[in-house]
Amino acid sequence: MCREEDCPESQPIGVVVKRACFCVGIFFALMLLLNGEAMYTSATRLEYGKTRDFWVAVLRPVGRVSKASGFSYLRHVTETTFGEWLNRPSEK
Amino acid sequence: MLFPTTVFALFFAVVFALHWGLVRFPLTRKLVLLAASLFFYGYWSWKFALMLLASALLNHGAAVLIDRSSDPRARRGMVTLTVTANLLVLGIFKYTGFLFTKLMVPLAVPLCAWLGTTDQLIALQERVLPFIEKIVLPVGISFYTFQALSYVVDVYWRKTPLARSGLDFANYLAFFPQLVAGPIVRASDLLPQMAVFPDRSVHLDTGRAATLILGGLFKKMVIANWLSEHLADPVFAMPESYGAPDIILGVYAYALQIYCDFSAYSDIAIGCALLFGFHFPVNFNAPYFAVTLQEFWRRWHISLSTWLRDYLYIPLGGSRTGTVRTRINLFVTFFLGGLWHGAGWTFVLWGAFHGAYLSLERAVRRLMGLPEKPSADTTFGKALLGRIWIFHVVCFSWILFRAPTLKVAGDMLRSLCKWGEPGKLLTGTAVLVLLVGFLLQFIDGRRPRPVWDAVGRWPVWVQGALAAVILTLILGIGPTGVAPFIYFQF
Repeated sequence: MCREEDCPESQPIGVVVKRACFCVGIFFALMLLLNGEAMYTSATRLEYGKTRDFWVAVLRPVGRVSKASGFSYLRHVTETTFGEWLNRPSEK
Repeated sequence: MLFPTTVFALFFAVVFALHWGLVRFPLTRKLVLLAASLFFYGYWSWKFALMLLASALLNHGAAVLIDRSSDPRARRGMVTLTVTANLLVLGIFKYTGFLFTKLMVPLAVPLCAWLGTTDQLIALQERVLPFIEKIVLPVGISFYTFQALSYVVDVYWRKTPLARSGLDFANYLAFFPQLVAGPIVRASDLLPQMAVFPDRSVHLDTGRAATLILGGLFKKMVIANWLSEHLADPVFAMPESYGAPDIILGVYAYALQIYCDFSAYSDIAIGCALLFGFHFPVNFNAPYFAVTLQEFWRRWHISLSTWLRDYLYIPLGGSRTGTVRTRINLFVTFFLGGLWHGAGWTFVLWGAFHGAYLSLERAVRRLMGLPEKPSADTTFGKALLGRIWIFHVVCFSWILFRAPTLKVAGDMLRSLCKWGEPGKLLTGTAVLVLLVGFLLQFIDGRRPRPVWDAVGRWPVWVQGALAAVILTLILGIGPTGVAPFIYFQF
C-alpha cells in the first residue's frame, strides 16, 4: 500500500516541474559529454546491421565532441584505474 | 529495453520531454505515455506489446461488466471467469513446458510401460515438444497479470472504483518503469494518479529520484554484476569443483546479488516514476536485517508479499480459521508464491521451504509465548542472533532458488561438507564487494530521507551535473556489457 510519505497527497517536496526539466536537461547534456566517446565505442561493437548503423551514426558526432572537449577523460580514467582493478579475474 | 543502456537513456529523454511538454493536452499526453510504454515493451517483441494491450482491454472490459452488474451470482461468475482466464494465459506461457516435461511425462512413463504403450508416449512427446519449445515467456507477464488481477478483484470487492477509461487502465497496467519487474503497484495506488496526470504545479522530488536511480544503477551495475560474475555464477555452474568455503561465499554472493539486482530495479522504477510525477510504494526495506522469516517477507519484495497476503492468504481464511488451517494457508500461499517465481521443482521446493518454515516459526513462537511480531524491546544481542540466523535460513533457501536443477542444489549441499579444500575465491575484493552489498540496505526504505532532502535543496544544475558525474563513475567502475535483471525471467 502507498505509505503516507510516498503518497502524492503529502506536502510537496522537491522542485517545480520547470526546474526539474532543467535539471534533467543538464544531466543528459553532461552525461553525453562525459560518456559520448564510450557510447560511440560500444555502438561500434554492436552486431553489423541497421541497429548498429543507426547508433553509430547518432553517436559519432557525440563521441567526437566528447573526445575533443576532454570530457571523456573522466570515464577513461575511471575505467582504466578503478574499473580494471575491480573487474580483474579474481580466482586465486 | 534494459534500464542501464543508451537506448533507454534516449527513450527516457524523449518520453520525459513529451510528458511534460504536452501538459496542456491531457488526452494526447495519456496516449503518448501509453504508446511509449508499449514501445518500451514492444522493444523485446511487438507480439508482447499486443498481448499486453489485449490484457488491458479484456480486464478493463470485465471490470466494467462486474461493476455494472448488481446480480451477486453474475458478478461472482464474471470475476471467476476473468481470474481463470488470466491465470490460464499465465499458465500456458509459464507452466506448459514444466507440466508436460517435468510432471506429466515422468508420471506417464511407468504407466505406459505397464500398459505397453511406451511407443505412443514417445510419439506424443515428439509431436508436442516442438510446440512447447516455441512458447516464449513474455517478459514481466507475471507482474502485469497480478496487477490486472488486483484491479478486477478490487472492483469486484468494491474496494477500488472502476477506472475512468480503458486508456487510464491501460496506462496503469503498462506504465513502463514498473512493467517488467515490478513493484506490483495496486490499482488503488496508481489508478487515481493515472486518471488525473500531474500538471506543472506539482513538485518533483529530484533529490529522491536521483538518489534512487543512481543508487539502483550502482547496486546493479557494480555490485550485483560483480558478485554474479566473480562468485555466484562460477560456484553454481560447477559446485563439485569447489570446497565448503567457496560454496558459502558463493551463496552469500548470490544472496546479496539478488538483493542488489532486484531492489535496484525497484529503486530505478520508483525514481523514474517520480520524475514523471507518479508515486510508487517502497518495495524493499533492508530485508537481511529481519529478525524472523515473517519479518523478512515484510521487507523483501513487499508489493508481492502484500499481494499474496491480500489476494491469496486472506481469501483462504488467513489466520482466522484455527491454528492448523492457518499453517496450511501459510504453506499454500508460499508454495504458490514459489511457483509464481518459476516453473521448476527448485522454485516449488523454495516456496514450500518458506511456507513450512513460516508455519513452524509461528508455532514455535506461540509455544514459547513470544509475540508474533518481534517486539521493539528485544535486546540487541537477541535481535543480532535472530538476524544472523534468519540471514542464513534465507541464504540456504537461495540455493534452491538459484540452482538450475535439483541435482545442482544437491551438489551444492554435498560440497558444503568438503571442508578440506582451500578457498579459491576468497579475496580482499570479494570481501569488500560483499560488505558494500550488505551495507547498501541502509539506503532502503525512507532511511536516506535526510540525504534526499539535502540533495533536493541544492541548485538544480548542481543536482543534474553531479548526477551525470556519478553515473559516469558507475559506468566506468562497472564491468563492460549489461546483464539482464534476474527478475526479468519471472
